[in-house]
Amino acid sequence: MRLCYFIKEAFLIFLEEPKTILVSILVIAFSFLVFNLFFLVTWNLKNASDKLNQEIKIEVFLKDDLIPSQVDSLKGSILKLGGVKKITYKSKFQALKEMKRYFGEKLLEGLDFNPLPASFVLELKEPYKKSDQIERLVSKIKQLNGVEDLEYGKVWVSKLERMLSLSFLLDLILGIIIGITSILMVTSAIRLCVTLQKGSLDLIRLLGAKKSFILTPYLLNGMIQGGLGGASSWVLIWGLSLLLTYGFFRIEFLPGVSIIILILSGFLIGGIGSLLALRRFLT
Amino acid sequence: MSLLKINNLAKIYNHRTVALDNVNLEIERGELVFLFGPNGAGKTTLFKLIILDERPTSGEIILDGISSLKIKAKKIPNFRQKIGMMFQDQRFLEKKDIFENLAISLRVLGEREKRVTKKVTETLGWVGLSGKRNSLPEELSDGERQKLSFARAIIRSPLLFLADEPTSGLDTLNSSYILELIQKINSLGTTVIVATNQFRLIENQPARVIRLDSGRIVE
Repeated sequence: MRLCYFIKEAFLIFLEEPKTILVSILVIAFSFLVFNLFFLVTWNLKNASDKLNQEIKIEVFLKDDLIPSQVDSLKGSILKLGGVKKITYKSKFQALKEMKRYFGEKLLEGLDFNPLPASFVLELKEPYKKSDQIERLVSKIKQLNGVEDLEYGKVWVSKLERMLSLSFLLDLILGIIIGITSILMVTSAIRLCVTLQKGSLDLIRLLGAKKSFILTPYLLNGMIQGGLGGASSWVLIWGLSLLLTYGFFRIEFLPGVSIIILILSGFLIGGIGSLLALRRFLT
Repeated sequence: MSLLKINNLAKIYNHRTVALDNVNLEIERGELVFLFGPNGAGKTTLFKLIILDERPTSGEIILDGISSLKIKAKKIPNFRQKIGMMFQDQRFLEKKDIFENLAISLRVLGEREKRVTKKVTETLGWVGLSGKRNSLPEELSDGERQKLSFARAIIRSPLLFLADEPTSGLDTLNSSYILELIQKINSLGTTVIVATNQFRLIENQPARVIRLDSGRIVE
């Protein structure tokens, strides 16, 4: 099989310039590691955000003068807005009881009336647990008759989402920079190999080899370099995560699919790097 | 129709060094031709032009009906595949063993591995290099290197066999052996051109001898 021959030749190129290629793989591995570290932070932020979002609830405080039929009608109106998974009524009495449980009996000792309002506690459906969806729902609820005020983790929800977006953007920028660096690394390694093998390649050309026959092993070699770099970076970040987990932090490791993505990205980057190096020989 | 036709071929390097000047040549299928001339006569240049390693300044080469003037770049490998060549400077894949050095000549044609192995084994036996199958080219003697060069050129049964100074640097025994091999493949129907500057090689040869001097055919 021709492919077997090309793959064998691609691996033999490692023996021709082992030091250059090893350096190239290490540079790719450590560049990817930097990206992985940043992505690990993003991944953990996202997980934290998801967990907090799971717990998010909106508390709708009701005006004091509502009669039971108005309360029922308001409940119906809220449910009609959509996005609400569960709605629970909390009476003034229950609110007071909860407050006393948290802060002690003495807190409201001097008061001869219950100042706390009744409320609805809303649990949201999955797609509505994002800050923009929550904001939309909140603004609609605010317009309903009988609503005094609302309470939800507005500040931390939007802050966390902003942090997450920023983190994703940073990853993207870093990914592009690291991708370009890795491509250039493979390009220079392959170019050096091709230059050093010029005599042999010339001979094969004169024997009647087509360009694809001559250059395919180099293209594959670049892809293998990238793939190995990607895989090594996964091993490094895995080791580092273990170390951090057993040390000080409680972190979640990147999902299993990340190793496949890293290797495929490595292949792609290595392939592009090789093509850039071989461009001169292909034209 | 002749296998190789060369019309008004000229090669001038750097606008002043004339390597070949108005060379006209016609070689029939199955013919054995000696290209005789001193060093610098233009023999190697002529071979380089025939395998399209270099482009002529003017003129045309027609091999098996394919003209060097009309051939498209992507068809040049197919053109070269019709030729087997022994290079004067004994070029090999120095980091690969003898088997691989022969196999590459078939692999570029897209031959299957099974056939490659069979043909290489046969050819190594034919030129007496079976015992050197796993050696590197640098481990061979001069005579063995020439045998390897010969084997690589003929393993794919080329239409045209070019041998550039095939006996250069060899003792009488090895020279005779290489010449014998060349005559043998010619007798099997391969068209052969041997470039040499050794008069003793062309002495008493029943073949056509073309004399080349300062880039011109003189006889």
